[in-house]
Amino acid sequence: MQFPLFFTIILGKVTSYVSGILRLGSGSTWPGHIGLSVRPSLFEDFVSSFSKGVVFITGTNGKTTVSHMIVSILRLSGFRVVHNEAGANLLNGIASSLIKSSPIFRKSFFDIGVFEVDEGALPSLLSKFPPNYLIMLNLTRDQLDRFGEIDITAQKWEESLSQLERPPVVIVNSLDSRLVQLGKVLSQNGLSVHTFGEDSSLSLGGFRALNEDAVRRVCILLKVAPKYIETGLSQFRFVFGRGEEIPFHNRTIKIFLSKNPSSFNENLKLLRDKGSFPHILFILNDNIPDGRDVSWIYDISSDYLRKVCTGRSVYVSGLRAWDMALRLKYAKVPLSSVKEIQVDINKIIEIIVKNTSSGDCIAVLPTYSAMLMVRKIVAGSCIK
Amino acid sequence: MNKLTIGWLYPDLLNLYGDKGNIECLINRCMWRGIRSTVVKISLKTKLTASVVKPINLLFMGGGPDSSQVKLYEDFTKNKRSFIKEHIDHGYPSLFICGGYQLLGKYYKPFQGSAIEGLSVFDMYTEHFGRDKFRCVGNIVVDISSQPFGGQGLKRIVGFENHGGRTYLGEKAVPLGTVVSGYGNNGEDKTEGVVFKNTFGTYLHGPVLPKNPHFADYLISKALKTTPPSLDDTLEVLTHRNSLNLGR
Repeated sequence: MQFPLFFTIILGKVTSYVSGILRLGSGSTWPGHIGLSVRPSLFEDFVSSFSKGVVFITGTNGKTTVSHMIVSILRLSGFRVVHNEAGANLLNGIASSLIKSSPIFRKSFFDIGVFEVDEGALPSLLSKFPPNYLIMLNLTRDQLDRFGEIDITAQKWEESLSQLERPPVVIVNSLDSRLVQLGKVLSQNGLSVHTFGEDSSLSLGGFRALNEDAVRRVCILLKVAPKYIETGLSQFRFVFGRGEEIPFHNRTIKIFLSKNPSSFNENLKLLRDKGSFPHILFILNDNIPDGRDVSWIYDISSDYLRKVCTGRSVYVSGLRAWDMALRLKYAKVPLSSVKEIQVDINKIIEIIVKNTSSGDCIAVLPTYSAMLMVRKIVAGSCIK
Repeated sequence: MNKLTIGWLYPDLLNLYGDKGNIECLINRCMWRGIRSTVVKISLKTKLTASVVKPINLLFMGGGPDSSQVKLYEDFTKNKRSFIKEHIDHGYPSLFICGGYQLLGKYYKPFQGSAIEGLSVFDMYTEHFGRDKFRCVGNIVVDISSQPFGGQGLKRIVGFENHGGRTYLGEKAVPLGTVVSGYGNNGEDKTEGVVFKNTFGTYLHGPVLPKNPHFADYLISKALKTTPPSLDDTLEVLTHRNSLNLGR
């Protein structure tokens, strides 16, 4: 016995409105959570709502950036797109964006759905809401206590894809050997598998160039005109904590989300090479979205840490500020570089403002929940 | 003074949980004292000749995914067995974490399939109960006042555990410590880890040594057969104390 669709949508929209008014901050997951509770078959209602299909983007790093890039290109070329832009990438988050975009009494009809999907949630979502295209960006260690093992994740992807009647076209990162291997297995099972990232010159451009290649690959498959693809990519500005620049008290705060060793290392490389940030703030939390086990910080390159921190003013904050400061010590960062260790993020930002001058640039490397907190303090909003 | 030579078992296969931070900790703590140190990586293809083996005065093996443990099992029990046992029997210090710890017991019984034989260095066995028992995950605090390095100053060790296997100690086994907060070996008897001569097995990630400097220095002192001069451990102690109150 489940609620009818129109009622579920009303309920979801009301939930979204109320949580927005009351600034409850979970407006991107509650509508979907409630919607799925009262109407478990909700995803089925939307399966035929997208005339040009649905794209899923999954992997450890890059989902948000790549999905935003794709969406901006698609909108430039005139498509009507549904996207879980706030990054809520579990089933309830995706269900929320479907509910919020849907008209109440008419059938929902868009051109394309673009959804970033959490690597752990992908298997269960695939059977309920099968996409037409699936981009697999990478699979590296992320939250150790959450997934346990990436081999199991890859296996679950393979099993769930192979069970689909109409599996998606899969686009795989040619530089990730585990995913390349998975691609071969899927290909043998009859799936259409493409790759991105083969061009060796891409390695010079780091994550950004690789992500752009993934975006190009799927946009070409979606038959988007090349002019829109190139314009979209060249105009693209970083989003939501991924290289996002926010002015604050006449300083510039640039946020580089650093939630696992690979993204942390990539961000350190950027800072080592570009070198225009004299001040750096590390914020390490261990809330559930960050991963409760912070052992991973010892898998960040000690060499990069030392090179980036030497000669800069370093600040450390977050619930596990002490562990991060100790990690810097064992990376041979001179302790004279570390100006302050302060758990409270509000306080450390006050201290940094006091210690810096007008026009200064500060690079912030936070884990996920810390990124939301910093955005709230500095830009006044938690989730767009 | 002697040189610290760490034999690091399977660094390429077992490097998943930040455990290489333990190596970094040992090396730095020696460097800051003007003590030389070196690491000998021992992997599947490493031939254990006398020249490789002789200088090693501390052995370390970290944790890793099941797939890695499957790959190394045969090599571990056939080609590395006698070296490891000799090192341990001679009283040289070693630290085995999680999967490595389990393999030093009598056997490991997976949820499905038959038991996998260990090296029987420790009087213990490990069993995985599948979904019948929950996984032991979370911050952990262990009272180690029964250990020689738990006498003064820091009486605990702190870390993070994440294991499905539950370890049960035999009559002859001596635990590393008593669980103050967390699950420990099996979530039932409040023991954590095991000690045999100067060899330690534990489930603690963290990694375990950086914020337990008393433990790190104890291993160094056993390897060099002398007590090294003390260091300024203010940051280590503050981090350790912060971890005493993290909650689960």
